[in-house]
Amino acid sequence: MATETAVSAVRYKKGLGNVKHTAARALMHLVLIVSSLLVAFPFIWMLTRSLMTAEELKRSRFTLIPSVLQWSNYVEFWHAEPLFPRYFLNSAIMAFGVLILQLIVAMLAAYAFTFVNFPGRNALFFVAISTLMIPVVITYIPSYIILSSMPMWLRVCWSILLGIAGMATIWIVLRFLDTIFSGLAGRERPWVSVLWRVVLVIGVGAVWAVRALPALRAGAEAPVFAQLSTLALAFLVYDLGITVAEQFPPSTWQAVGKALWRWAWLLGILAYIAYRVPHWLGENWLDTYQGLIIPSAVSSFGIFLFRQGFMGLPKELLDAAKIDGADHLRILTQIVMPLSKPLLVTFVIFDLVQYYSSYFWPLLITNSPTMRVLTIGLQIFFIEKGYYGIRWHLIMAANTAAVAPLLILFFLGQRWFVEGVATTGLKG
Amino acid sequence: MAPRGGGTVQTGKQDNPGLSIRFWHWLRSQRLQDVLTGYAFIAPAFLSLGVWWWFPMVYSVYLSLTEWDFLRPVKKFVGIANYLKMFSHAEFARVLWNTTYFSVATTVFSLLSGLVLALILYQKIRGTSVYRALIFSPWVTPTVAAALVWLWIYNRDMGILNNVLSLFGVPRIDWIGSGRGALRLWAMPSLIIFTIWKTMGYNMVYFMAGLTTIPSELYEAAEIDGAGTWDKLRHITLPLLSPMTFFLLVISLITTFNAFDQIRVMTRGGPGDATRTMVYYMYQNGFESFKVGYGSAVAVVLFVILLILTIVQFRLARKWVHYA
Repeated sequence: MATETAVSAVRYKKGLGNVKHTAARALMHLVLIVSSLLVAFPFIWMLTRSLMTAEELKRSRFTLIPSVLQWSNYVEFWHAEPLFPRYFLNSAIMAFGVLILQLIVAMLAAYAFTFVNFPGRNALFFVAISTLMIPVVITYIPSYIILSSMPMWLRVCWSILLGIAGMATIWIVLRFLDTIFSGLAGRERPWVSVLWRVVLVIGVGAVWAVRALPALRAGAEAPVFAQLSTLALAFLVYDLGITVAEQFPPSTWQAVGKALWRWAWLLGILAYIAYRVPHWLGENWLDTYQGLIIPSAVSSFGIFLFRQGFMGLPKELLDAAKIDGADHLRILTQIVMPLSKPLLVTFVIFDLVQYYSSYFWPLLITNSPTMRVLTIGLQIFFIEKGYYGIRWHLIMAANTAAVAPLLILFFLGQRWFVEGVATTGLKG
Repeated sequence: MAPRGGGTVQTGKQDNPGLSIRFWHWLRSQRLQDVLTGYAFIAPAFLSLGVWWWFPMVYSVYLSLTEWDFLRPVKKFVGIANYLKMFSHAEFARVLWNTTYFSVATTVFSLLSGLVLALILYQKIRGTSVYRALIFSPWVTPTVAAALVWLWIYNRDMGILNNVLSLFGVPRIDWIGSGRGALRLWAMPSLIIFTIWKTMGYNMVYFMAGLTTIPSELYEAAEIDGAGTWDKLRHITLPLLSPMTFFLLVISLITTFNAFDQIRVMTRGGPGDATRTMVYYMYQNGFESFKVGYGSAVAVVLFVILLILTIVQFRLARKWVHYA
């Protein structure tokens, strides 16, 4: 799709673009310069004010450049609100948590809606897409009520889904490390992937044995981190086993062994998760991370977007994979996902922006200072530590720090953003 | 399943395998695998949609027929009393007007400025990507952070806006505040200008994407026919851009109806009730005064209005949207 746009952009030699009068072109430049300056002005203002002293700020009405750059403002606001690192962390947890869940849920559904034949497929797709019509605010009061007392069956369902999401995340990280290590090894070397996995398992296992094992042995109710690390270690061992098996040429025995190994470990891990995790999640999800993240787990727009993208993929590749005996999960992860990388990147950026900035839902369900996300933290800072806009220099420093990650992400990935908008928009 | 006749079983053995074999084949068949994977793959999505979207929607309708404060053990069923109360309140008329004002003004100006900028940027202007990035950048900043900066721009005593205006002898205006000299008149336009600033670049980028899809042959043909820039704009660009315009119109309507962050940070619905929109009204009733039933009723009405507006838009679209 991206290439399609590029092609038509190149072809677009004539078109409307034949305004040749110098005066007209100068006017257009003027409009552009004025409007981009106006748009950029609040950012410039924010940045320069964040580097002024309180006195200079009060005196200056139009001064743009501070006489002395007060970098200390950034230290000062950090000291004024010791919870700021926590706000950043909470926002990051929320944004990445929602992102991972939405990616998994939407891609699985979109794959099924595009490539798998099952009865009622089209009807179910329209049922899923119809959710786009529902404004999210209508769900807030009921969701709040549901969150305040989550029934057990829901908690079990979500524990399993979270378990799958967690394992998928580790799996993707491992694949990513694979590409790095095979790159380091230079050419194709057998057993490299096994070697570094053995090192990893020994390392993680050692930490686990020192930190988590005593806690697990000591009492009935081991701390959550000990149990989580046990689960992670179990998944690493499982992955090591599969990787070892893949070093041998394919045969019936290898296939049977892999299947047995896979089902034994995965079912074991999931059973343990279904048994333990609902208790950690607790009954009241207000003021918790799971409450922040899980109600946003599905994005019907994401399902729609991925289905549109998947439909544009060449069918022959998938058929070839099917003839080779690949199952659906394998086709999704090893053929469809790599082919739709631009779409993935776009979705990732858009989702991170949206949930890093989210304010309404966190405002409703979080209460304690340690659970505040960045947007709420900023607003509270404005009121409590900025005294409703008396200490503007500190407020602007905090603001700049909060905005910086997204703006940097945007200017680095500018091309992706705009191409992504183009590809998603054309289909819309 | 007993065989019907001995003879058939004897001869059928070669091409018609036994039941257990057939079961084994069925178990291994692509068809069964497809059905099972299909439902397994959509299960997480439908669990989430059911629990966090459809059930809440139905539950909202139920809650809107009750009176409750989140605490009492029993929800008192009151029928349509909440709706009657809402429609008889003068304040609700005001809320409806505010929502319409905000939504229509923001949508019109944001789309127009986005369209103009996109048209200019499409003239193969030098530095397109820089302009595009700058104008799009407000969209990637959290609304709350941006609103705090604009709060200062609008500030009565220190704000840059009043500082600039005072150069021309304009008296200081309290744009959004409720303090001395506050004119309720200005609060809503201030919010609208902020929202246009935030969304203009987004519309522009979509319009630019729409422009790339217009085949250049059309323009070439028009030029041969002697059409000027204005004719081409009117008869080629705008009609062929209409699907994108329609898409942006629908999106913009929904997002502006749901706007909350900037209202909460900048005006809190004030001064008085000058910027209280439906979503903010729902928030105040549901989560500040704990009138769950009334808040839900507002949410339901919001949903119905949006639904009707979207349907109307799709109906009207048949008249003015041209699909190539």
